Amino acid sequence: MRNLTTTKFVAAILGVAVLVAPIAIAQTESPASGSQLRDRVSAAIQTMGDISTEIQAVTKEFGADVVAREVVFAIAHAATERDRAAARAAFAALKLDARQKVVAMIPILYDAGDKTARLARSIAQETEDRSASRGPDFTTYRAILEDDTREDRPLPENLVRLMYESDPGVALLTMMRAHQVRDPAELRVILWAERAVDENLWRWRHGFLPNTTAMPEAQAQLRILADHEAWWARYFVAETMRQSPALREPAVIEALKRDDNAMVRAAAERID
Amino acid sequence: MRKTYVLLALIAAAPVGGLALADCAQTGCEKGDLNGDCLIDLSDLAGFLGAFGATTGDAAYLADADFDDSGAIELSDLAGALAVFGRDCGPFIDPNEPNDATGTLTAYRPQFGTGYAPYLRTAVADGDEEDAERGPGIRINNPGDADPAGEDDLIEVTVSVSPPGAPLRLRRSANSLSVWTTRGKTPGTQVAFMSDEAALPGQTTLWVEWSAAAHGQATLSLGKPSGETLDSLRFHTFRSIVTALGGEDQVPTTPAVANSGTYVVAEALYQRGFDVLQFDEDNVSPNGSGAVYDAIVDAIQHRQVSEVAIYGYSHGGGSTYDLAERLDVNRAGIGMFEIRFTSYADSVENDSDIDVQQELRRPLSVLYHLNHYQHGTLLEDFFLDGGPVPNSNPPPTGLDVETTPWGANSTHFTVDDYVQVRSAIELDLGGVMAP
Repeated sequence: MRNLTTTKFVAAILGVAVLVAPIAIAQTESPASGSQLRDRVSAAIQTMGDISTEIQAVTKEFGADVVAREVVFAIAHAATERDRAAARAAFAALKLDARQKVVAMIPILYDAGDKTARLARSIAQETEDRSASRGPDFTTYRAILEDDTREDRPLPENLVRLMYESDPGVALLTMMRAHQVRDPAELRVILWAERAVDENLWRWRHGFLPNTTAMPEAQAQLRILADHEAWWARYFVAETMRQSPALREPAVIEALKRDDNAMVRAAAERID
Repeated sequence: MRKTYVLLALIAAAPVGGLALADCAQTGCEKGDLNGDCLIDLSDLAGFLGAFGATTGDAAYLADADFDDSGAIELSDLAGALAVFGRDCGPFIDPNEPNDATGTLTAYRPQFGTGYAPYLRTAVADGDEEDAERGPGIRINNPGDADPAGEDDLIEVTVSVSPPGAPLRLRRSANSLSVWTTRGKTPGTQVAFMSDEAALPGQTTLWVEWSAAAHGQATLSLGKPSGETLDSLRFHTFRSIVTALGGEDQVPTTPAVANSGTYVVAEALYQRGFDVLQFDEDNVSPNGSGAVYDAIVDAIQHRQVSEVAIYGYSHGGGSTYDLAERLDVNRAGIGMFEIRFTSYADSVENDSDIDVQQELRRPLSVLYHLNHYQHGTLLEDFFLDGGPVPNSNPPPTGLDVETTPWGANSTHFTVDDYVQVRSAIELDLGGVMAP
């Protein structure tokens, strides 16, 4: 299956290079200086009816998710910078929106070879719009998780793991909202715990507290959430302790390793 | 028997020659070499004759003539003296003035973790050994410094002495320099200085540490006991750190490959005395966190580094922006520093490994920004390119290399490799900050 798909995509990628030559010449004669690269690529591809048709045909046959994963595989294993750039252009030609990208990457976030999985995580995390000046935006993840929650479908474990590893605090609040918690008292338990731990992280980050010293309130709130009935609250405790050694409590970690929920157990096992 | 009489007659006629002020330093002449000239000859036998019959406590008693250490110099010792007669134990070196001895010190550029990778072992050029900037740089070695794999803040110094074993001296200008005979500072291997002077150890490789908490410069010299200096190294503590970020899938190699211009520049800066970290740009996450950020913060917090330079190519340029932003946002928790220099070479944002947006934002809070870019085309490089960045050098927005004769045919894949681009990074960086 992979060979067939890859073959078709290599053909599609090569097709891009061959069929757009007239456009490239036009661009060279009249370069669009200063415009955004993505816009130019998008504009170029939109004029390439044949290529779009080819990509769409393959997508129609195999599905956008599969095609996207194959292109990611091709990018990760490209032999040269130029091949990699060509494969990236093909990924752009798929015209996936943020949700489609994330959904397509979920199966390979952790379960592919290292290079492919790392690339897949990078593509999914691009939707977080992360920066040092602001926290991650999990809007795309939340929409996916909320739909699954409403439909009572099992949540995609890879996506949950990615989100918590990216930012445990924002992930906790995202899960709380995706699970439609309505009772203000229940909401406040989660909100207060997240706030206490975040306060501790903030003090570390800005030098108000040595990063080997934990605030008692943060540790107390972690102990409370470690006994919370919602598995996604306990997951927060496991991932927070994995990322912040100074907040670890051996008894809590041992309890999480015996948790009823397999995802929580797995997160606890990943603590050094 | 007849021969013995003849020998004694010769001995009696031989000049005694006076006793040496110190023993011969070579092995084999511990007994019998009474004048310490490393040669057991007639003058020594004359000395033996003068001491013959003396016992411990007598003024004439010589321990080096008492072969069996019996406390008396007698016939049994004469047999010992005859047995070593004629022995040449090697060149004599007067420890008070070894005028024929020579020696040199060679310092090397700093190590990283377990060794020199990604650099080759690089000696400081003879002409640079005492230069305040191009000379041997050394990291302040404070406790808590997160050395990634063992002790990597000691500078290797090799010693060459002729003749071997000549009793030369090490001198230092300040006690902030510690000298060890092992890289890992094994207990008992620190060279003991008295009044900033020490006997040169037998090892040919020494390891120099800056053990003071404050910055400074200090000289380590090799010289004769009389005080004459044979060679000197002037160490300066690193006040800056430079970080080089390659493009997508470019990784540091030893030596750098020619089409990884970022790392080629890193080698040049390393050779001229900067402390330069090379990284795959994937070690910088979109919010600036990761191993590169940690390494810079460690340098600021534990090695008193106060000046930072970051430069990158393609996605490495995007990561340069992300890294500078995180350093700026987290200043309160990091310490005092300035980002004095950043540079983009055809910079592309790095929000993911497939991000193809031009990086057109000037890094935040940076004193000097250099920018080079070209125009991508579909056939050449699938439109990958950087672009003009406000308030960059050359003013006002950096250099479009396609406007130059040498860069007219550049593509995204070659723009970082032009010698003109590499030289501009090296020279401009060196113009706004010192090692």
